Amino acid sequence: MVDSAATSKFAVRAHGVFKRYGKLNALDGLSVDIPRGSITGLIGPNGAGKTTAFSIFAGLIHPDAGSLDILGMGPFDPARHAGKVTVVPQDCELAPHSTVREILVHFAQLQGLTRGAADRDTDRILARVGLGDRQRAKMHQLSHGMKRRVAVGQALLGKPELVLLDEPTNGLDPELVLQMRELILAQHGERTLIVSSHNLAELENVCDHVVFMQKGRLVLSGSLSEVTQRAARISYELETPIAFELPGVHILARGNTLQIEGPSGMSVADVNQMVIPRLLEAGARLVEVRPGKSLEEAYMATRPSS
Amino acid sequence: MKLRSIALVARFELWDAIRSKKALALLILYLTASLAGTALFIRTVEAIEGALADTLAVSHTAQAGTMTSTLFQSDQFRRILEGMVGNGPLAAKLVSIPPLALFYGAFALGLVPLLVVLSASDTIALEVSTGAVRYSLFRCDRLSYALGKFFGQVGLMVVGVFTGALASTVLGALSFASFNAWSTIQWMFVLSLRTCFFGFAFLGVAFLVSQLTASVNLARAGGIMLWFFLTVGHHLLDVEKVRAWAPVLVPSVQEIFPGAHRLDLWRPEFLPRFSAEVMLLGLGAGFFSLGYLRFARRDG
Repeated sequence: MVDSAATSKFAVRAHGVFKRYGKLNALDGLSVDIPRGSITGLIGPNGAGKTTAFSIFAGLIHPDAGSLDILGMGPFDPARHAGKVTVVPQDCELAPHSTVREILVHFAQLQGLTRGAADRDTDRILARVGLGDRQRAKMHQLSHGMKRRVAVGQALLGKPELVLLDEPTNGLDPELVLQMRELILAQHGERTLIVSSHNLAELENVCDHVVFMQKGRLVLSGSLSEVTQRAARISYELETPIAFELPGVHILARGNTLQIEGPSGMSVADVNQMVIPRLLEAGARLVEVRPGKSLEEAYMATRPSS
Repeated sequence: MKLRSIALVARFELWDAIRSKKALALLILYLTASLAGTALFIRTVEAIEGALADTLAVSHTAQAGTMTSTLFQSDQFRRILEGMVGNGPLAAKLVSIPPLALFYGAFALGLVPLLVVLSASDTIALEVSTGAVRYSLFRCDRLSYALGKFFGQVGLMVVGVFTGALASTVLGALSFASFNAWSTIQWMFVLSLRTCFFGFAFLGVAFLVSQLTASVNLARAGGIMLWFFLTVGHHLLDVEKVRAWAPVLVPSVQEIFPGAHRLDLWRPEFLPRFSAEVMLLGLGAGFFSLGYLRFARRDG
């Protein structure tokens, strides 16, 4: 199971991971592979085991059974992973009486940086999260959004290869959500990010890989285009519904929306080139073209029907 | 375990205590207790000397301590003390210590365990309950983290004990007769150091409970209960009837009570004193390790 650190294609490999809290199975044999370099969205309802999975990946919680390989170096061990794996935990307090700068310098040093390097890296992070002017403020003097930015900032100290973000945009106003999105997107290609959030629209904007969890198990995992079937399915939203048929093409009409599954081998552009002229010829007034399902639709399709 | 991580966590713990004014509150507590204790001691000596002067129909001394210093140097007092501690060389040693330092040593040995337990029992429990621990445990191993927290508290205790000694010395210098400055300062230093050994064992107790639970209130209550149990338990095991009941077992069990080694800290001979200091360090480490067995396996 354990690949060498250099050759491992996966940032996280979990196999049959179990974790029980009393009678509750928080993780019920979770098996998942998360590609290195991806921005992966970890999606599931409350109680699906997302936070437990995060905590196990980062060594904060001990699994009852199962095997784990983090960055091709085996299960999390601070001796091997310190500075390589960082976490933005959910709803955890940072030392309220310390200043933003003191906290960041301390964490940077604790993960192995020298004092000088820690100072320089803190400057970089403060600029990145837009808190340069608040670096001397004590944590208890900051707003919720600022505290959240410090929490995200501490996870980007040094050169982590894997960053676990548990609900990073929780409680942030729309402007801060936008900043956080830009911050996450800026990490793309530099490191692997696993982001847990309830905001599926938000995740759809930043992730290139998704993992759906339910009741402590993996339900679906794959690249965003696979999961949303972007290569195979296109939705055309019309002003008013019309009857429309194309020989050899499967068309599903749902109200104002036509869902078309393109023949295999055809790109989205090819399908559009074939379908759109015919739609216009048929008198359709086209409002929107959307490749694949939304992440929300894909997620809801995995949920048991209530 | 990494020494660098331990040092970093200990430093942050100390600075955080200073920033949060917890250190200031603790310092005020040590200062107030030392000053109040010393003032009470001087008042008591003054009252006793006054009563003695009245009985002997002689004039009162201008400052407290004149008669006490003379009394300490008398053979009769040494013999009384010998009867109390059951050890000739120890009694001789005790009367050679300046009265003020002798008082502070005894006072600090009684007070510091309680202050240590009150201030340190929630150290790790608080970080687990607020989740703050989650920012550190992926950066360093749990043992380095817990030891860092522990040594941060050791630092606070050392500062508190020595500050208390300084305050007591200053008050003594101002209001105690036959105050031998150099001898008192030396003994204050030596006895403060020995108090730190004693306090170290109780810091271990505080960290035992602090690592067992994630509840701050439970940790605080557990710390006080354990302090009470160890203090009272030691005295109970010292009762003749209890010792007679299991003459081998009771003295052996008593060894795990820090109080059993308190008297040895006063001994003039190096070996028993050194053994007591090593035992107290061992007890502190032992209690800490018991707690760590849980902390190493706990989720959080």
